[in-house]
Amino acid sequence: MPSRRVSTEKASDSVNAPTQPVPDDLPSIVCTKWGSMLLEIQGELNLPPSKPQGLNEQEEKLFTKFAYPDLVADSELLVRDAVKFGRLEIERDMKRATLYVSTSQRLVGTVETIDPPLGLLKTDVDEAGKCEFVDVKSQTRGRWCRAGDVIDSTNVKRGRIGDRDLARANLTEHMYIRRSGSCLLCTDIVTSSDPP
Amino acid sequence: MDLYSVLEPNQQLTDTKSLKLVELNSEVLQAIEKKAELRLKSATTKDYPVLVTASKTFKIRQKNHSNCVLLLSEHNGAASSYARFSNELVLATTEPTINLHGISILTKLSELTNKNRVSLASVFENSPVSEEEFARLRPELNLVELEGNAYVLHEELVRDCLSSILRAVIEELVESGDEMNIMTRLQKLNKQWVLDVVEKRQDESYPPEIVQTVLAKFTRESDRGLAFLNEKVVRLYGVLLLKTNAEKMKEDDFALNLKLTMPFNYHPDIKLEYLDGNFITENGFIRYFAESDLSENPIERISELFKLKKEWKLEEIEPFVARINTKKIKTDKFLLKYAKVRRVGKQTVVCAKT
Repeated sequence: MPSRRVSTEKASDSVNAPTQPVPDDLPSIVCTKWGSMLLEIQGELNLPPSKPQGLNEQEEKLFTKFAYPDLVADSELLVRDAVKFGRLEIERDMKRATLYVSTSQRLVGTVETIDPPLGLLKTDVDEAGKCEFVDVKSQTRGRWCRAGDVIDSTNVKRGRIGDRDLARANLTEHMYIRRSGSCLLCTDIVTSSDPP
Repeated sequence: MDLYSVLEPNQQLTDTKSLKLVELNSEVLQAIEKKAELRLKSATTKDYPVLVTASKTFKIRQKNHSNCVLLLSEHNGAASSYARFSNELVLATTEPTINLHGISILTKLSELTNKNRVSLASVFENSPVSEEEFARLRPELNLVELEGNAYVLHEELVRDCLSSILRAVIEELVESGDEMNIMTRLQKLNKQWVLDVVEKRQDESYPPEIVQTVLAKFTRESDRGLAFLNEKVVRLYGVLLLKTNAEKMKEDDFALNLKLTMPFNYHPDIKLEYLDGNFITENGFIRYFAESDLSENPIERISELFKLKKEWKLEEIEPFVARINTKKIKTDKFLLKYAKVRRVGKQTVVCAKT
């Protein structure tokens, strides 16, 4: 039957949620009620197809297991290998952001609103499966939005993250207020040898 | 904030589940805000998909881009990317259509069948159309459900039912002493009164589904009441009269014959332009010709038109080229590309280029 219902409950909850300040002990971030965030990079992000063998202890720390959020995985347990590829810092004014990739690249971008808003649609070709809009990243008044965010960094120099050339960045705690619903746009290429 | 990514971020979550980013327009966003249900539809499995709200239909296109868009999930101050997109789905307004495939045409009431049962609900399911648009388009296409089966009513059956409704209403008006103002009264009726009168006086008993469909197509409801759309009524009778007369008919006779086929005491204005796209006039004669029989290809359509008639007046050719004039530019300007357009006195005449 070429007709499927699309549920909008989760997306509706997200889009109607008010902006929440985050606890002071967490870094600044822009995301929806469900924790979704978009990062747009001009170019490609190359990652190893599988976890390399023979890593030293420090490299091993860069790998972790990632369990897909309930938002998309429903009750299924989907776990895959994940690798740390960089670090994102959003400035206090929530306008500029910097993406550090590996040890040698720094991508500067800005936080932008999304217009038109983007919905995240989950489809299931299985007859019994459910199609639903699970989240909405929306553009709203001004730079700060109620829900939704895109972090958009353009002009990224192709930073290949090879087997051994992995990002090694230290997480520094930033006491920014989390604003949900903006996006980040990196427009300038800044390659730097300074470690972040 | 540390950023992680799964090693092969993919829109495909499992064998069957996948994620898409969709650019939302204001109608769809509003529907989401209100928690209203949306539908993904398509006429057949091979047709383009549409997303419908309660009242609008949007065609879905895929827009590719060269950027890398990562979808991240934030957790405990870090974020992990689990899907990567190189395209977005874009919604564009589209004309809703009803998929009439496999639906029988009903020419007589006695032909109701139990074979190939297709309900109206399943026609809706299989049509790229929203609920509100379906309700509006259904009577226009003469689509009804009788005894659980959907049918397209043949135009002659629609005409007979319409005649029977008009006759019943007019007789009642005459009896109530309103004989002189029938055409005015037909513009201001109470719907329930009409249904009661039809029920009481109808000579042949049409099922209420048919009566309501015919009324929905040929009347308009407003604050002032129910009004018969004379132009549409004339068009139905006129087209059927032309269709049933294989011979050419004199233009002057046509109006007279048309009046005779309509119910007694029903005297709408008869203008040939009401029948636009369904006839050709030549040397004072008129004959049936349907615009839908012409090719969809502009060049072929124009050549077919000049085979029918060497020289057209602009207003005559207009209804036959409206469908190919997709950008809706002025007809004379549009035709310049395909034909010679010249002015003769006050008239504009169109003929073939060579």
